[in-house]
Amino acid sequence: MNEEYTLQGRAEAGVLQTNKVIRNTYMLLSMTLLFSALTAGASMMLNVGMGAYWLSFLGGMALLFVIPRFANSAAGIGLVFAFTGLLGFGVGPIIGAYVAAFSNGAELVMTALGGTGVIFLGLSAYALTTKKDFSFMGGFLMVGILVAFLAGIGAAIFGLSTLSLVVSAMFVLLMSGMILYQTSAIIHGGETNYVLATISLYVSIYNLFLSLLHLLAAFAGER
Amino acid sequence: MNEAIPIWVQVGMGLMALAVLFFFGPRAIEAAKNSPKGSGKDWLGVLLPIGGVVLFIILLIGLLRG
Repeated sequence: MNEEYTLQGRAEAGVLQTNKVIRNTYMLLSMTLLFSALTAGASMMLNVGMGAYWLSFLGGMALLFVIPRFANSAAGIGLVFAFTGLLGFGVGPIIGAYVAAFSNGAELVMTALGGTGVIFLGLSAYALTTKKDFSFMGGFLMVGILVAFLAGIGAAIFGLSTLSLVVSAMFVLLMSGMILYQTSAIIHGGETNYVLATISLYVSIYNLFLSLLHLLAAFAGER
Repeated sequence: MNEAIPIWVQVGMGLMALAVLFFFGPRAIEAAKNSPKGSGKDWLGVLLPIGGVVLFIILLIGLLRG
C-alpha cells in the first residue's frame, strides 16, 4: 500500500517537473522572440548593412558553444537574451533586403512569419497531444543538420543558388523534425533544462523562418 | 540579395565549418549509431506532420502566386 503511494507520488512529481519545464520554456521562448523582434526592428531602423547579419551569425555561433556551460546558472538566461538579441539584430538587414529586392517583399516576409508561427504551433500541438516519443530521431536529425549546415556554408561561399535552395528545403524539414523531437524530449523528461530547451526551439524557429522566407521568395517572389 | 560575401566572413565561415566538423562530427556519428531505432510505425508518426508542413508550404506558395 505504502509502496503504491510512493510510486504515485513519484509519478506526480515527474508530471509537475515536466509541466514546470514546459511552462518555463514557453515563457522564456516568448520573451526571447519578442526581444528578437525588438532588436530586428532596431537594426532596420538603424539601416545596418549585411555585415551586421554575418557578424551576428558568427557571434551567435560562438555563443552557442558557450551557453551550455552556463545553462544551470542565472548567467545562462542573460546569455540566451544576448544570443537571441544578436540573431534578431542580424535578421533586420535580411528582411530589409527581401523587401527591397521583391515588389511583394513585405507580403513574403509577413507570410513567412505567419507560416513559421502556424508550423511551430501545429507541430508543438501534435507532439503535446499525441505524447509520442520522438527520441529515435536524434541521430538522424544531428547528422542531417550537420550535413545541411556544411552544405549551406559551401553554397554561401561558392555562390551556388540551387544548392542554397535545396539546403533551405532541407532545413524546413529538419527544423520541423527538431520541434517535434525537442517538444517530445521535454514531455518525456529527456530535456529538463529550460534554458537549453529554449535555445533549441528558438534556433529551430529562427532557421524555419529564414528557410521558409527563402523558399517563398524563390517560388513566389515578384521582381 | 546576391551581395558578395566579404572575405572575412568567408574565412570565418570556413573556420566555423571546420570547428563544427571537429566538435560535432564525431558526436553526430556517435548519436546516429547509439540513438534508439524507430519502427516503421514510429516513422509514420513523423511523416504525417512533416507531410502536413510540406502541403502547407505548397499552399502558401500557391496563395502568394495568386
